[in-house]
Amino acid sequence: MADTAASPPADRRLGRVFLGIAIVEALVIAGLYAFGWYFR
Amino acid sequence: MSTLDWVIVAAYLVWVVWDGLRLSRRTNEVEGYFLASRSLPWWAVGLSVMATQLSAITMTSTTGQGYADGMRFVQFYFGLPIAMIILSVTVVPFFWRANVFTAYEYLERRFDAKTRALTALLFLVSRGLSCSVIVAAPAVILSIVLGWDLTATVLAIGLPTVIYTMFGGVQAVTWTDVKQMGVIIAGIVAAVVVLIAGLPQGVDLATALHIAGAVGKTRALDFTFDLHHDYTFWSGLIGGLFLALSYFGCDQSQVQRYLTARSVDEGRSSLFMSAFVKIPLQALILLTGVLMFVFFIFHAEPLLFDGRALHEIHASGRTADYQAIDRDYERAHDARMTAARAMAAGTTGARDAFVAADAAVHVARARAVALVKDVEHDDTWTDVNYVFPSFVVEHMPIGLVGLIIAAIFAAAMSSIAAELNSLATTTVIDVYKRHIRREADDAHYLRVSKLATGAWGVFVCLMAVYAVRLGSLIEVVNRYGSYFYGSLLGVFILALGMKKANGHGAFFGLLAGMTAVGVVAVRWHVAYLWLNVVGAVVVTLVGAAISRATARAA
Repeated sequence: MADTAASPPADRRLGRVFLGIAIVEALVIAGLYAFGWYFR
Repeated sequence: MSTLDWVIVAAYLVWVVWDGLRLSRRTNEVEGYFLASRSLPWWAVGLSVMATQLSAITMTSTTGQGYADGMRFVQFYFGLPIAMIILSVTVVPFFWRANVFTAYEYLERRFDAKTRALTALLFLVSRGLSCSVIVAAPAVILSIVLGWDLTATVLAIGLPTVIYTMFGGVQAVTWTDVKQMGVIIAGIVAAVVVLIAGLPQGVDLATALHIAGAVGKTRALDFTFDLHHDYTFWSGLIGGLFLALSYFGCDQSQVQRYLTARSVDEGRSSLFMSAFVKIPLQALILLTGVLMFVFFIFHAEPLLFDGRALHEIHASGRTADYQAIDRDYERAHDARMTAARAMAAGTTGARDAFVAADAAVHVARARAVALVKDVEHDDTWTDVNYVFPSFVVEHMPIGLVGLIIAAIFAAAMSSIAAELNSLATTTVIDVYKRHIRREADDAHYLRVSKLATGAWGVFVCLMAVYAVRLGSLIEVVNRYGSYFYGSLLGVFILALGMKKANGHGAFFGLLAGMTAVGVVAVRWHVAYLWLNVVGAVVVTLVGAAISRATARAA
């Protein structure tokens, strides 16, 4: 991929990745909490 | 260990050197040697980033932590995904487009030579020492568990790593990292499978986790806001964020990984891999430790996992004391097993009996540990790091023992290789080329680069052997080395985030930050993750103030 200044589509793609990371982290933390609660 | 296991370990060591050298191309120029001519795909860089961070200490110590303390340590990584997002829009494009070899090289362009020299020196000292600990820690454990001489273990870990790193450069480092991550994951998964298969009849995985949960081992989150607790949700999220920002954004051993990527986007993607995978991977490693705890409820568990300590006790004439503790321990262990079986069968009141018996086991172990501390005159002694290697050697089937010992080697070597490569890069680019010989052809710098890699390899191996004699001192040095991280981050915040910041502000701000961290650590004994926040904030504030004052004076 060309290494040029960020373009709007690139920004959108990056935004989706950030959202994905945030969702996955929230799910993992919630999962760890549920794991500890269920197997308490 | 059986012959087959030895063959697997030996085959791994030969293969990793051969493969590292085979895959290193275009290393006949300095940019190829240190940065792979910026040609590597994101997934290879991403796996290399993770392999560098996952050392043998992670495999032995984190599983041990899971065994002793449960899942809580996973909170340490909660700030990491956020750090990756921040770094991907700040540091990664910045360093990549600045066309630098090292993070510190950029600081001279932005500030001045003294700031570059100080940050490079801090990196070389702290990383050089911590790299020797990365060699020494698994070398000591493996030498005791496998019955090898310590020097032989250090050489078995260090020599192959130095060879492929010295001759193959960063390409050898990255491509062996990729395969070593495969060996590490295979080893962890194999251990989990054997642990689950080793549960007695009537105890399935869910029951095993309920048993562990009865004594708090499955509880991963602690929302207490206490600055003195090492691992809480808040220290992991905030302190861990600052630590991850410093480590992945300012430490050459990590910066160099994503500078080898084909493009800014691929550099970013390599960090996103860690953002997605790191917490689940660490949770799996900790879960391995929790399952070991359950496994040892139903199997013979040594009172001390470090066999050397037992010899010390016998040699000091305290055998009778030890035997008395051991008798109490065996009684408590039997009672705990009976209670655990009753729990699995659903007997009323079994849970309370299990918790009480587990506490008795803990008391007996604490007495044994106190005895060793007394005999060895070492208040920091612990055998938690020996639990996993002991389990592997004593309880894993033939063939898998070799695989997991190879995985521990792989974890050590992947970290050491990246450290050696980055130490050599900083030595050549920030010291030799900048201060000793500024004008020479590429072939000369390439020769010096290989020599620097070899020299750091020799230094690290020698220090690793002596680290054992220095005992806890080297651990202290290593721990204090990590205290620089937050302050270093502060310098990069000034560089990238404050246009008016200048060299005086960065240099004296860095000194002020390190002093503040030292004072806070000694005076208030704050949990070390918070020290990263202190360092970064003090450097940023003091640096901004000095920059402003000196700009006005000028």
